[in-house]
Amino acid sequence: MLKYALAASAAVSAIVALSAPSYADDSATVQINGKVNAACNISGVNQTIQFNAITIGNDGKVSSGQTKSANLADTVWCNGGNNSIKITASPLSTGGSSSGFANTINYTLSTPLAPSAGSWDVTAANQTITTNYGAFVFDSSLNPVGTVALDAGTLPQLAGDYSGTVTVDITPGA
Amino acid sequence: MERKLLTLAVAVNALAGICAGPCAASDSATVTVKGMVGSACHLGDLSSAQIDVGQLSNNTDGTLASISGTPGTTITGSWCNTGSKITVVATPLVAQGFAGAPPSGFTKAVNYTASASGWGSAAASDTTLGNTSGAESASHSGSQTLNDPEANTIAVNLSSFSTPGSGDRLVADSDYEGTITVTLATNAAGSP
Repeated sequence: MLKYALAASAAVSAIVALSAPSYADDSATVQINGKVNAACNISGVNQTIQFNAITIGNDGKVSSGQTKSANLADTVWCNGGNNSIKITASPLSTGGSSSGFANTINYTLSTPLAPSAGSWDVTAANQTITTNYGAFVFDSSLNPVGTVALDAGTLPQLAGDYSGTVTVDITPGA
Repeated sequence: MERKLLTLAVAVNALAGICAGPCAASDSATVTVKGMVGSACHLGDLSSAQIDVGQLSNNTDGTLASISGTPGTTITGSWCNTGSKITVVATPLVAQGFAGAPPSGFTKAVNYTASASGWGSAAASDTTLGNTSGAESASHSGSQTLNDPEANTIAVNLSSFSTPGSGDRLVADSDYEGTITVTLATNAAGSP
């Protein structure tokens, strides 16, 4: 009877041993984290849209149909989902004044940086328009061009050097 | 007298029945004790279950920044009591909060190579294959096989960060996430 009991015990032990994992695997997972801050950048600024000699008619007024285009920058990008581009523009102007003559030249500005503006008539100093964008990039494949079409004059134009500015401000938003 | 003889004969036969077969002064029995040790592997403790690689882009041009150092973690106290196979599966770092597909020229994913070293002489490594949306079109993994039992510390490191397209800019997101899964499995072909 003792012999039977020992034999039974050994058999149970064998079954217990067999139930242990015969090919156990183990794994661990590591989480990797990073971040990208919202940012914008303009490179290749200080571009000039150069008209050289502006054509005036026999009446001394700026002739219509004078248009020039140039990139406002080489590359403009924002990586966030809620960015804004503000464009501030002022008419061409020259120093000095004289009664009966215009010392400013208005123009119509269009740029893909402000698509909602369409063709935007710049008739007063520091006019602004703001457009909200998601992530975008204007670069060599999609130039941030600005096109300036001079408005026809309403008064004879005062002689002088004329200049105006178009300023692009970009603000990142995540 | 005859009855007494018969009684004695019966008694002798009864004694002979108790010692039927070889009748010795002592006896023994042998019990064989058996057992087994199942093949098993165990991964130890992670020094850190999270690796933060920090800011991924540079603010000058928005492309992937140079990740300083070699981010990583260690797994201590790992062992396999037989031949084993270590496998690494990594997923790309993907922007979690940026909705939809990224605009042209941008990516939501950063790829990298994850390696697990210290388990045998060669590291097991896996390189992620995320596209600009972060999806991977094919499964992938890296592995190494050892024929002998091993007990060692495993170092898990990240390197060779890249974007799906050269020069891709990264969309802004405060939470880029990926995972590295290290698995130790017993190798039936190994020894002992």
